[in-house]
Amino acid sequence: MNNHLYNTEWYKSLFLDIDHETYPDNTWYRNHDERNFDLVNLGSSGGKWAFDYAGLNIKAMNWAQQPQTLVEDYNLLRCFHSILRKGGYVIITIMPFTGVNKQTGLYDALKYLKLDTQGEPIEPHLYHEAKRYADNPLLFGRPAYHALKQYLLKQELKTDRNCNACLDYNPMTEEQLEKDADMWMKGWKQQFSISDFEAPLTAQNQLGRKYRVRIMRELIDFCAERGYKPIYVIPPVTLFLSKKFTPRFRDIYIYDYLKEVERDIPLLDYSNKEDLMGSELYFNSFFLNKKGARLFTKQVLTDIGVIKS
Amino acid sequence: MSMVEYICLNNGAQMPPIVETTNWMDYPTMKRQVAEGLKIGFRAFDTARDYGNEHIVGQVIKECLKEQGLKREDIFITTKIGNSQQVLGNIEEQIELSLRNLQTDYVDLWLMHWPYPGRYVDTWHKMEKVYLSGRVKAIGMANFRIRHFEHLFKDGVEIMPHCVQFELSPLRTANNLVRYCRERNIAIQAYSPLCRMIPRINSSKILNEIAVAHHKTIAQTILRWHIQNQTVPVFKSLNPNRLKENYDIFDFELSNIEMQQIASLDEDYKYHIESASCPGY
Repeated sequence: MNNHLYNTEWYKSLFLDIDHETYPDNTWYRNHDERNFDLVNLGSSGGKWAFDYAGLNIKAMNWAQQPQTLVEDYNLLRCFHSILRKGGYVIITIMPFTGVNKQTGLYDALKYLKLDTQGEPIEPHLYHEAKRYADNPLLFGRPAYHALKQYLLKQELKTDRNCNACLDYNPMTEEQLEKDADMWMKGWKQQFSISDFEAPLTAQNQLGRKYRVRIMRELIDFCAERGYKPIYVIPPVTLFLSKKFTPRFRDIYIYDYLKEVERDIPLLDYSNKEDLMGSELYFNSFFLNKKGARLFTKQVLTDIGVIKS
Repeated sequence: MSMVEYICLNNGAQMPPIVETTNWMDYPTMKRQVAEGLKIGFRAFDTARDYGNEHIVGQVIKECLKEQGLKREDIFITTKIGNSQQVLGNIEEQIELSLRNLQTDYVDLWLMHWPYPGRYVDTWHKMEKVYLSGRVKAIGMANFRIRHFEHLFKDGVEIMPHCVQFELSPLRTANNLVRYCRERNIAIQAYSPLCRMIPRINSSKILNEIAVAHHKTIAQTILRWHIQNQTVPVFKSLNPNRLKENYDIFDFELSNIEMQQIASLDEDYKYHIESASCPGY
């Protein structure tokens, strides 16, 4: 039954890059001649939707995923950085909560398992457990049985993770965008056990902050040692969400974090750029759509100096 | 002109100027290629623990030497310690395992396959001990860059590496690294010496013109460039005719201008992405 499950859309959807087209692992590089890429971007959801290099005169890769932690960013870089040219750029996408830690789970470890990383886990937490589930997907119980049934009855539906990236408009009304922005803020409060965004970090978040400072330093030093150029980039969000990020909130969660990292690298901060905040550039209150990503990416690359405006 | 000059390592050991590699070959293929290689004149063979076929190399070499009336000391065997063995840390046991696999009581050149982060300095010091025991005639490393050497030398070494193997071709001449090694009298072996004959090698105007001028193929031209550059090409062929052709490079000479023209193709293009084989590289 496991053998059937391996062929289901549900099972394949648990993993990233099963066709080896996103990350330059041992399979990718034997099928592609391009080398000496100019730039890669890391990051979580914000980075995933913010960068679209199509049609630009640059060799670049988007390694961000929804979601992805800083540890996963760093490990992806460790495994695949040699695709970069000497002096290549590493964009570190900074989102509101990059500087606090969150617990990862089985699905986070699972999703990287099909990448050829010479046995080194991209997400170390629950790595062995994830391997066990990947080898024996029946362990998932109900979702697995449901997927198997759909597969055997030939009733599977293929989902496209990236369908939102195809949009060049925002399907939400103003009312929906307002609610969406509220939903994100509430979600973050819950996720990080925050009762007041303007209060100092909780004890737990202070610990998480220390950890994230250490990882960020290691990541930046890793780049420097190899001659790459790391750059912090803070992507824009819609006005609906941006107005909820008070100056105090930004200080506590973003700027204080970057100060604590104590590494002197360029910072490109688009969080207050009004011409990038129009909701027509997003597919919700938070993430850039195709039109927005192309505009934003071009802006960033021009500002870095890798393309001419 | 047919002179096959060996390279003298910094400890006096002699290394053939061209190497046949055996990576990922099964027994029938390897037997055919090594047997043919020996008949043609190849005397150096490369393998590694991580190729999973050290034991096949051992069997093939033993059979071929006997069949062709050659002695063990007539050939030069290179093998390498892989990342997982570095993690285990039992380097002295690992060489014993390699010697058993290869059915020999010594290895001519023993390389650290990758500068595995956090391990490679310690691995080197253990390799030095093995070298001093006489079970290996020379030691070195593969895939090191200048920063890896600097980090190792900062810790202090008892034995200066005898040889380093890295990807080197007209598309990646690695001038700084080559200069660094030469300054320290570290011999160089070049893997993927032909850059796997990717289209931009085959279509290179410079290479085509030089090849035609010498009535040679592009591959022969590049291999000759390596010989004159004193960067020992380590290449793989599954075709006995190709092997013969690639050894037919000792009867012509490239001019200084031609050498420079070939070197001018450099674009720091590496076929192999190091970090994909050595996370944290």
